[in-house]
Amino acid sequence: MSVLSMIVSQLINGLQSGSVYALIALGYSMVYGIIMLLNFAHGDIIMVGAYIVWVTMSVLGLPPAVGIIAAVAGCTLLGVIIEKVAYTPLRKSPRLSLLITAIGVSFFLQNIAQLIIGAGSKTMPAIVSGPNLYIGSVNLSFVAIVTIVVSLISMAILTILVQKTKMGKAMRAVSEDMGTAQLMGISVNKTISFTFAIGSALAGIGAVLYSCAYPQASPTMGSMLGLKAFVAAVLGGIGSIPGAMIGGFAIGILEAFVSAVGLSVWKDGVVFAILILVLLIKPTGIMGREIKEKV
Amino acid sequence: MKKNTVHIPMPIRYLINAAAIAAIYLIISALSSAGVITNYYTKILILICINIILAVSLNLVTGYLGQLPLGHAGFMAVGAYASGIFMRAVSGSMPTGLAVFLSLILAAIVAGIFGFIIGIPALRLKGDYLAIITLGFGEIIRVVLLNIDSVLGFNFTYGAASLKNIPKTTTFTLAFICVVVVCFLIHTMMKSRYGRAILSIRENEIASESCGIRTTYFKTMAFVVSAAFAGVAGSLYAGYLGILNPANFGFMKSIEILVMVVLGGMGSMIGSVVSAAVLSALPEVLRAFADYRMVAYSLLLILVMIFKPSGLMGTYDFSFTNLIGRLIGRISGKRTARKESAE
Amino acid sequence: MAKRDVREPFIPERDKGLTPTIECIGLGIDFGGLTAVDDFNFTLGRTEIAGLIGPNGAGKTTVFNLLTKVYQPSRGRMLLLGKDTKGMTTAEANCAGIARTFQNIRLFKDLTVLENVLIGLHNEIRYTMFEAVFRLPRYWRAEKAARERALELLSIFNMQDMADDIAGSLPYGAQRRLEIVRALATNPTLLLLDEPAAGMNPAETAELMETIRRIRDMFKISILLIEHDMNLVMGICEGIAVLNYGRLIAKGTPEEIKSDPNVIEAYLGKKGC
Repeated sequence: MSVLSMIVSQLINGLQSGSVYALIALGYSMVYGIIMLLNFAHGDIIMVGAYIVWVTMSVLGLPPAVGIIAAVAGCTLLGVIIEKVAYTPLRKSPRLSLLITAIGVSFFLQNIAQLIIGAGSKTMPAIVSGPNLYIGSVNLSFVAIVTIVVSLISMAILTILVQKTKMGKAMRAVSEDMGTAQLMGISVNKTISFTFAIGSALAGIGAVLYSCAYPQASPTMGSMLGLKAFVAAVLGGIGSIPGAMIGGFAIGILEAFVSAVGLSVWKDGVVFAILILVLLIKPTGIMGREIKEKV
Repeated sequence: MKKNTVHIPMPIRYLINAAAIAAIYLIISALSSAGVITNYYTKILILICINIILAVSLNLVTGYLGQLPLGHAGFMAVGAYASGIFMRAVSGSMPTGLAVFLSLILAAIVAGIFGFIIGIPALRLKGDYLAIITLGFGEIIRVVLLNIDSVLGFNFTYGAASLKNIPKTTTFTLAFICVVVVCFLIHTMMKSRYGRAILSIRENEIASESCGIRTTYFKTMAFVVSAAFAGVAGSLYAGYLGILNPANFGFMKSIEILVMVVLGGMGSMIGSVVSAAVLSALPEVLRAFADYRMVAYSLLLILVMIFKPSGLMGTYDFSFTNLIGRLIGRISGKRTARKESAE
Repeated sequence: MAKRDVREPFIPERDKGLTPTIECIGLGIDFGGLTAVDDFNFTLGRTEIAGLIGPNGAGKTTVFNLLTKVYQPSRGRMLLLGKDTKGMTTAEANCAGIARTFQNIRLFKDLTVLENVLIGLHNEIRYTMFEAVFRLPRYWRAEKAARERALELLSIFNMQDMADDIAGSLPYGAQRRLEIVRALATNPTLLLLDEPAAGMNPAETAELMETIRRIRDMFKISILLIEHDMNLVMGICEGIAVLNYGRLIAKGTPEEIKSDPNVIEAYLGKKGC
């Protein structure tokens, strides 16, 4: 295999995992943008999504379409419930309390999953299958293409939703200034719930796509995946939607190339090292805005 | 409350506290030599001591300085490996007592240096960003411990195969002494101008700076001291387990320490001590419910944040001598109190 | 009356001949292309009480932030007792003698009143970390002296009885006063007060005026204050500088300022609009 075709195939690999990271990073970013919370539980929503796919398809024997719909719907619902139960009571509390609550929710989801399903990992059924594509000597897996296409479509829909619809306008207004938005007659509660719903739905899609690529589900799968997506969100500039996409793809491609040169054991280290570098050079990430405290 | 308190002068306060600590120690060692506290319970007691040091040291940064680092386990890991490697190297060539003492000092210094290296860049950031960057450093420490041997070309940390055969030198007495020393040092530091500077940064950084306090310096100082004590806990941990694996020091361990601090009440040393002790003992006591333990932990964390965000103790700091003073005050009545306020 | 040139220094007669407390020469700052303060020339006498006034958004607090080095100026120089302050941090500026209060009170809310003042005394208390953690005699001596000094400072405002109260629980006026005490504890040569009378009733304001004068006489320091309450400004300030859109538009005695057409225009708008 020539160097070029290797580069191209690694690029595709990177784009595949990167698009999953990007979808998850969007959830982190949107939630941060609106209530300034690092939603640590977001990664674990993906874990729940993966288990929903496993239960509907492997346990109940239902077709993939049902599994996908159930996962997306389940994640959406879970996201909204978490927001209502754990975060809404703390809206006026210090940010630190909210952050610790999010860590608690993450912890809770992992352990409850372990309690119900067990610590061992479950093998996922094949969700999509199709012929691989060959472009010259480059082998493009069907799953990779589906993943990239689906996430690009999701992101396009999200962008239209945020930029063009009334609800999107409300989301942007609330994230600018919650108090003023409320005075303009926007229902803050509804808008925040909606944001969580969208973010979690994206996580659901991410869960399905991730399960296609790595057919294993375990209670702790969300934590490293979540951390990486989270790094992607920070890298791109947390709170920024295009930033999350850029960050996601950047992390995915970076990982693919680090692995390709034989340093796969250092993959996680490199991701965090890049994060630290970015934070030190431009603390608000690539696309983030700086907020200064007024003296 | 203040009116009925008799102020106990300083040297006597020290004596009372020293006596109380000695009493706790003597009771526990008497019980263990009488066989009431079995070997198994002694092990739990050592673990409690280690966790108390971790919680109290994290409380310095989280509770007093008001920052939220998520990489405390990383400093513990650095201390544990420094101490483990040292103990393996010198075992047999040095009296054990001296080796243990040196290993504790070494662990504190190495972890402190890491605290400095990480603190300088991390403390430039605030709030969430500080949490993220320390999380990143913590993970990097873990990945490095796991893979450093392949870069060095010889066995140093033994990576995933674990660092084995570390002399098991951590006794309850040693762990107990370390707890007392660490708590004493943090307590006296917090009651000085250094401690007040740290508190002022938590309260209002801009005002602190305008009072002439070099905030960067004091933030770094708190961070380094906190890391060094975490290193001490790591050293004890190495001598307690006898075997170290990078997986023991992941993100989850950092969270576990944070939970202890938060539940105890950020900014309360006694809170950290009590909650570290309870949370380390509970899983052993409730072994039958081991599966539910983590679920209960996480629910507890959420519920505490929603209903009592200041933690169980708030910022309340317990003073044994004040308690005695209050008791005496109550017994001897108002006459003493009046005399005291006239002074 | 001849109009004073806003570029010329203006200080009271008795302070002439002494190095001014501060001297700003063409000080200016931009925030991303937006000029917040420009060509700020200002001199403050060693025992002067001066006022900085101007409409909302004129850049008064920005000037304070420049003086206390919260912001570094984009242009110009600032001399403190004749020494250039270039590159100083806020903490260094405080050690060099500039103390301030804040428009939106910034106390150490969860700490006691006494602790707030002790933190102000931070750089006055001298012992090493070693002496502190092992509680050597110097620690006890220095702590005792600091405590006494703190209570003495609190007594300026009759607050010594509140020493053990939590700062955040004090009434608003007391919080403002505590901020002044804390600033004084840092042993300043220049005290900056950002709207000290905000939220006070006329009686409290009158009392505050007396106290500000008393502080100046006791500590022999210069005081610069931002204030919207014209009774207070006209009552105690010897020199007044007026800022509008980031530029000085007038400088002079209270009487001169009162009748300055530029000032009237800045506050009330052009006649005949």
